[in-house]
Amino acid sequence: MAEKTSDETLAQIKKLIEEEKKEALDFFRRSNFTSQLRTRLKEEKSYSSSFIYWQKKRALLISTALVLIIVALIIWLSLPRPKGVETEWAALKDFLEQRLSLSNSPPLPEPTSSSEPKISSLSQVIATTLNLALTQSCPLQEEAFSWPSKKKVKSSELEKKIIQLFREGAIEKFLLNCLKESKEVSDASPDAFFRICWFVFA
Amino acid sequence: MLLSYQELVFRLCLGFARDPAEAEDLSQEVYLKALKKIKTLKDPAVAKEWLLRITRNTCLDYQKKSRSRCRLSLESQADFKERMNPETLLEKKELRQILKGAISRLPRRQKEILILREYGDLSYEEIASVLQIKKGTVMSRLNRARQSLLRLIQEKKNG
Repeated sequence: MAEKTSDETLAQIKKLIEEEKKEALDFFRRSNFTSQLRTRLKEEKSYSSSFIYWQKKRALLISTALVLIIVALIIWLSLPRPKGVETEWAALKDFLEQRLSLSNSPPLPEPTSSSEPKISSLSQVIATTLNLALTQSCPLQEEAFSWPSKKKVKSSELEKKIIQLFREGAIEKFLLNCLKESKEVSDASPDAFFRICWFVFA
Repeated sequence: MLLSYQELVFRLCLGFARDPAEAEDLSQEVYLKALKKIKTLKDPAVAKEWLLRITRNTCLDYQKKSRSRCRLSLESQADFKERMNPETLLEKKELRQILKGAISRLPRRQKEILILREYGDLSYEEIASVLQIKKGTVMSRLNRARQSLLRLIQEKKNG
């Protein structure tokens, strides 16, 4: 009895499914599936191509930026990097300030940045010294530039460093620039220039 | 060649979908996927099985997604209903709802095998090829699916 009922129900299910399929297929045949599919395919293609285009464009921009960053990094790393700039700067500053204090000159400026190259720092100090020397009302004494025998700084090291800078031409360039710019260049330049040279080579 | 199976694909999608409009959308998804993967079809002789496998996977994915949403294409649904006799609509609708609800509550393996057989009208051999199982397994699983469906419908009628 139960088996018969099951068979009947199954037959009813089959009938229902068949009817559903028939009606749905009528709907499907009316809907023009192929043309709809073509339209959707075109949409998908245009979307994917534009997506790929922007992906490529973005990839190009990112790779260019990366290359530029790497090149900049290489250039920055290849530049000569002084050791112990801060120590040398402080030592030289102390020394020169002490020298300049003999004529009650204003203190030297603080370094603007710790990453500033050594050449420019030292050149700045020497240029400032020269400027001050050239604008002094009283003439500079030779002993003011004489190399100290007992100082906090190791004089031999400092001398070596200054000579090295002089050989590189940085000091010379700054000295000449300062001399050119100075109002009293015509009167003071030969004397002051030779004094500074002597100071550097002392 | 693949488009010659469009009605078969649609019928299978109908088994997984709630209405013909949804089944049509699903069929389009199937074809889009198939066209994207067409290079993976090495032997054209097995194109039917290959397409049916894509259909099955797409429908199962769709069912997973549609559990969390309740999408109903009202426009298409209305268009579909227009062609039905209003007197029989209520009864048929009710019966179909019971049937659809029962099918959707079947375990995944039983559901797919029932749809392949009843909606796709596939032979045991074809079902075995699509699901990559033995013919005997197809028969026993289909029998279990029918029994489960009957039980679910009885439960629905009684309760």
